[in-house]
Amino acid sequence: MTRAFRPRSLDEALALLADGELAARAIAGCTDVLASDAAAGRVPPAVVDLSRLAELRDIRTAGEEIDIGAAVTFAELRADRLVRRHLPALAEAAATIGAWQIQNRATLGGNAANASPAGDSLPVLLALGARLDLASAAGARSLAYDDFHLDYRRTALGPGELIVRLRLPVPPPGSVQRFEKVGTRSASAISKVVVAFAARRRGACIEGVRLAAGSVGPVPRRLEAAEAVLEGATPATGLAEAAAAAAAAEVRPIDDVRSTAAYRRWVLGRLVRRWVLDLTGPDALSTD
Amino acid sequence: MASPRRDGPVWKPRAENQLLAHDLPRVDGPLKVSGRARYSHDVRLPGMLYGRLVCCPVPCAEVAVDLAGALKLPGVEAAVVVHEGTTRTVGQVVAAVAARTVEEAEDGARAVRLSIEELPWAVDREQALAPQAPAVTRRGNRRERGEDGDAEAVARALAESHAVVEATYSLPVQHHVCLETHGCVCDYRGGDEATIYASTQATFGIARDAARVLDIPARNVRTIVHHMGGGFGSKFSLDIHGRVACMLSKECSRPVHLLVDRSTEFHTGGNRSGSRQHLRGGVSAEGELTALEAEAEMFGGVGGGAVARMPYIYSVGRVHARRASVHTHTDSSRAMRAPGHPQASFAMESLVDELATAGGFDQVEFRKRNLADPVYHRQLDRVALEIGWPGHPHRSAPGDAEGIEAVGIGFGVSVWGGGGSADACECEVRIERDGGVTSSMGSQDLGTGVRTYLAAIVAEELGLELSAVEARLGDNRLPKANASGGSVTTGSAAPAIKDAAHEARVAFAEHLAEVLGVDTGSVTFDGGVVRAGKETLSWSAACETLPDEGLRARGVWREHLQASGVHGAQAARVRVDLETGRVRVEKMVCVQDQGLPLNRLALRSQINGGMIQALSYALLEERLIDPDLGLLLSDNLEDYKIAGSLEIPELVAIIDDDDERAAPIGMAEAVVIPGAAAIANAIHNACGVRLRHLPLTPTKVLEGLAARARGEEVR
Ligand SMILES: Cc1cc2nc3c(=O)[nH]c(=O)nc-3n(C[C@H](O)[C@H](O)[C@H](O)COP(=O)(O)OP(=O)(O)OC[C@H]3O[C@@H](n4cnc5c(N)ncnc54)[C@H](O)[C@@H]3O)c2cc1C
Repeated sequence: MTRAFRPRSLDEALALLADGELAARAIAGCTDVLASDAAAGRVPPAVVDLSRLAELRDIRTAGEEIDIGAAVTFAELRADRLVRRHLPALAEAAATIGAWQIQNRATLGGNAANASPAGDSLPVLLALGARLDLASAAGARSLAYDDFHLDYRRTALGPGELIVRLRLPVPPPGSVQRFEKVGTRSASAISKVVVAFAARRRGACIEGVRLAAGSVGPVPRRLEAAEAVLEGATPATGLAEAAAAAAAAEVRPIDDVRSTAAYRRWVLGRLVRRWVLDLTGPDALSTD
Repeated sequence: MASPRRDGPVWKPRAENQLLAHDLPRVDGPLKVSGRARYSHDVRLPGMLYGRLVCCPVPCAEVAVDLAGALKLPGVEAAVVVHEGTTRTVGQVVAAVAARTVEEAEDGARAVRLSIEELPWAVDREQALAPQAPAVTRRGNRRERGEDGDAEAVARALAESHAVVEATYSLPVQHHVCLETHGCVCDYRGGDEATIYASTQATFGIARDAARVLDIPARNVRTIVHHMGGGFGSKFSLDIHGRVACMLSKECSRPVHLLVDRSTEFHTGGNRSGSRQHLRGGVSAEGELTALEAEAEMFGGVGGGAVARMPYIYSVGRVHARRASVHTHTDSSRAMRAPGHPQASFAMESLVDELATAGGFDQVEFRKRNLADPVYHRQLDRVALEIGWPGHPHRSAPGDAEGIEAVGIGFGVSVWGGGGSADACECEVRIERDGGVTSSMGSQDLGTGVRTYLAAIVAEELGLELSAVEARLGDNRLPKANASGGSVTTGSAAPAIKDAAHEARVAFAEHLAEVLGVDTGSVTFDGGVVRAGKETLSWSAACETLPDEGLRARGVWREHLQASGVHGAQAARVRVDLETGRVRVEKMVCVQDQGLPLNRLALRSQINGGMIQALSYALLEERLIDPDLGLLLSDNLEDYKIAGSLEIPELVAIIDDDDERAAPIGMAEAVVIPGAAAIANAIHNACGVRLRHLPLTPTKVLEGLAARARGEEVR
């Protein structure tokens, strides 16, 4: 039998999670926990529900940041005015998570903490340069999202530590953001490849390039080699191909039930190429 | 309305009907969309237990079962051994548990101890045909299933042909993916009677099997199938799932609900066999198919599998064809919507497409030239027009795959019998004194719309509204009916319903003539009123003249009230993303004949469903078994993908009104046949990539494009 707690304050939640005897696990939308526990026949001794913690439930602007509570659902994200205006790639990603029923429950913090290599919002958090506010009974800290994923399904979260908020910088004017998920079908599908891209044009130059991908290795990751090709570059023949080749070369995808490694590599390269070509075009997904 | 005569029932000309040959929303639609329809899954009985199956996790093994651990668990009320000794298929059922809740039953199933001595196994073609392969059947792993034609004549004709294409086509194992999984609720509480609420295509067929397991007289077993969540050919018998429900129920004399979970469904619910077909075809300079050499292997697991006879539909000068089953340690194939036909269609239509391309012919004209039946000519012209073929740039050669996307069109044709079975069905129509009318037949409605025409045929005959007639089916205490499969239901049931309706009308007219003292010939039924001589009576006033027991009429099958032989043509238009290999089917068109269209809306739904199932087969579906571990990887709906709503193209379902046959014919199998081939042909037409192996995944498209760019052909 599982004991369930529904704390009203963050401190209460952190205290419960710090209690070694209780061995409680945090739950938010439960869309990962229920599926993986049922598959493994696992029954956790105790759970702590995060959905009533006000600190985790809202979206606000704080200075030059959009500050998102970790227990905000994808349905809320995709409908939010601030997110749609400043973080269109995140809004797009939110709209591709499972289907509506899942989006109504699944949370951004849960997606990050669950740390699946195929988590669809994770490349977006990388590409948009997120920072995390973390907290445990021992105290609070701030962590660059770049440093969050350590290894396959292993994160920087300590025991009893929670993601409280995710902060994303408001992109400067003229920035473009792109998101693409390639699944076996158009909805309710786990990604074969998921990619996010942010950059801006200054004069003839491309700068602020951040490119990240999921489902192409054990952890979602920045595509640093491709970024290096693009950062500060001026549009020139062969640039898109060079970035595509760099991206395809730096990932380590595997063959599995959903796709082949070769396909993942190829499609990643094609998406990068298309975006770089689009960056000079009129229909870039731009923020204001 | 014609006056009743004793000269037997005939279907009216289409235009004279008020209900039939119109769009009739299904009568059980509101129940289904509001969740009130009670499926077997929904049956809840006092004291009922839930059953769960225990499957052997390896493809072939010596298995011993120990139930003690399960029986000790709280809530577990019964456990049975289903099979000990040698198992032969991935996920074979070996034991089962019944408990008070589903969760307790799942715990119980996990607590059953299996001692497994793994034996060598073969789960795919390569393993089955390897020199030291373990024998799957006593008669070996490859069994010849027949040979027709003259190989030498074919060789000569091929040698003389203008162009020859030789290619291998393959199709994976496909699952039925019925929304409702297999199983039943067995209501047996001791004694010698039982009721079975089953998800079955054979309401009458399962009682005997259940009686045998329960060891009670078959006549005491009532079977109920009020609503059914799809069968597609996978639910003709009580099956292992239903048998085990009865075993558990017998064991504890309590009702047992055993409808399996999705993983068990994928392991044990059957499938459409895979196949590999090697074809060599020739074409003359004039565009005639000269010869065909065909060799088919069928992958039906421990079953035989199916591939329809070659040449499929097209006329070919000389033919030599051989078929063989290749057995593996996997679940047996079963009938699935048009067994063997989509497989044969995919290979044949692809080959025809390749030969047309080789000879530089227009795809539509080439097909017409090689199809003897003129019905296909008008149907192909119609779908070609509807899909935009006349203005399409690539009619005799594919597009050049330049740019970032390419659009193509492909075609295919279908065939089916669809006639009824003689004397398989009877119908009873009752008219009550209070004006109520019921139309009853024990048959089952798998979601096809039988219930609706069971009412509509009678309402039409009596000049009533559809809602004035109550249809009763899905019960072996009602008049007899056959199993629903092979599209035989309409041809078997509709004549008996029509006959009963006619008998009821004539009997009612005779009764009224006598009561009112008028001529029988002057009694007519129309628009909810009855005219008799100079009098006009409301329906209820007319019914009040009946005796207390009302009026009953029985109808039997009449050959002339059905026909057989249907044809269809389909076209698909696809958009291929040349950078990612993704294929978007934009539009599918089907023209289908079926004699008298009893319910046009239901028929269009069948056509749409057929096209959707074919699209899903073409692009997504594939059973995957890990050949090293012998594990079914695709045992859930995440890893076994079927098309979702975003995959669905514009669907144009056209009922072929040029078919003037005046009796209904079953057609639901035909419409699933040609879609996969049409999509593959459309991909080739778009970008010159010939994909010969389903499913048509983006990876295969990209490989094909890369090969094309290198100037190679992919086989
Ligand atoms: C049918 C279905 C379809 C899906 N489709 C997709 C998809 O398309 N794309 C995709 O990316 N995912 C998909 N998922 C996975 C899942 O919905 C997401 O990963 C979701 O974001 C998880 O969030 P949750 O709130 O439900 O997490 P939960 O299941 O509640 O928790 C997941 C994990 O995160 C931990 N956790 C939760 N919140 C916090 C926090 N604030 N701080 C620290 N740890 C925390 C929990 O302890 C647990 O270990 C799907 C799941 C299902 C069942």
